[in-house]
Amino acid sequence: MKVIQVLGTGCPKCEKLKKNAEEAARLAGTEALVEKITDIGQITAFGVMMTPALAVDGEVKAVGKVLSPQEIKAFLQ
Amino acid sequence: MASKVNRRRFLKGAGMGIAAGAAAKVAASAMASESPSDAPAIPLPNAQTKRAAGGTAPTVCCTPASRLIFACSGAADVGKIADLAARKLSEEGAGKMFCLAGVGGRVKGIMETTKAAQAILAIDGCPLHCARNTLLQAGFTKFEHLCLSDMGMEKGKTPATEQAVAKVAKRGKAMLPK
Amino acid sequence: MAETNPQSSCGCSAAPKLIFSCSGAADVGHISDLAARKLTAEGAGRMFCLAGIGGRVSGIMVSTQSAQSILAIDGCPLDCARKTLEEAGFTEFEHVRLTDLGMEKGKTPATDEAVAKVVCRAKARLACSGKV
Repeated sequence: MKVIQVLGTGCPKCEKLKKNAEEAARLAGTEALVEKITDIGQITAFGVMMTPALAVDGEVKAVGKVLSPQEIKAFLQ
Repeated sequence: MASKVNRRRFLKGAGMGIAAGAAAKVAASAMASESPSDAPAIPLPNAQTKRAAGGTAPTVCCTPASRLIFACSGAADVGKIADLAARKLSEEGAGKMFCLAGVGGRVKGIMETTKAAQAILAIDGCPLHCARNTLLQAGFTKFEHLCLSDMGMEKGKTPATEQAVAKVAKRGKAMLPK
Repeated sequence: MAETNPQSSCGCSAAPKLIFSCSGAADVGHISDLAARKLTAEGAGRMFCLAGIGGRVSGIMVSTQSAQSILAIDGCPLDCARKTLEEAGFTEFEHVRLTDLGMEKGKTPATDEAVAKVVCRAKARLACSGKV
């Protein structure tokens, strides 16, 4: 099962990214856990400089942008 | 040719002294028959064995210049502490701080010197383990690793005081051979 | 990451200007390191972890790809910071080398004055850097 983590303190962009991640998992037909990380300490622990950011299975894939469901789906395959 | 120039420039510039020059010579001769890609991080047994067989004590045996210390020198408070601890250990002669950026940059002189090291200590500020990963990426696998988070020092919550630096330096010193 | 907790904004503010210093063992490496931290403290840019580039740490790599601009500060002509970035695939960045400011390895104590000189040069570079 893929673990998708959306890093962000909680604003419209982070929420949008989370929704897009959930949609991407549905489109890919992959079982995925989508988790929102809002704690600053946990976010910086990823080595990330800006939010929103997206990680798949612990590896950061994008920083500072709201990826579309299609873009996120590519990381799940 | 380029690597010889780099090594000369580095030794001259860093002011590492005669001991380092001797260390580099031993490393160079020992390394002559090996390809850089599979060279070990710890100095080759052959170099030391030859000297021992000659009946004289090895002239290169854990001199400060051959105990290398790499710090992540990261942007956060813990990175600053790691950096200062490495410099402190270097000043005290427990080892020699060396340029991690030269490993990341695959700078020939720095890579060769690191291959020739008797011992390597990597000091990381946080669990991202950047220093450790830099060494691994460059093919070095044998080194001691000290991470400040294992000592209870948390990123963003640990001011770079003299006390914090001394604590890390003390731990680092214990991890280096005498 | 800066010494104080970074202000994580949800993409509302501009992408940062990232600063990487060689932080090398010699005096000029120390000055590079101190200059990067001072630049961060003064808000001219954000020091970031060069070791994370050499270590190919995903969060640091991807954050750097998203930066508005990058400045590499090297203490000596070995150009370790520049080469680390190039090895990792980054080709567009500003570069300051302390030797070009007349600072020689082994002969340049890490004084406030020396750090200030580097900060000044770096600020000028950061001011005209940035993606259009």
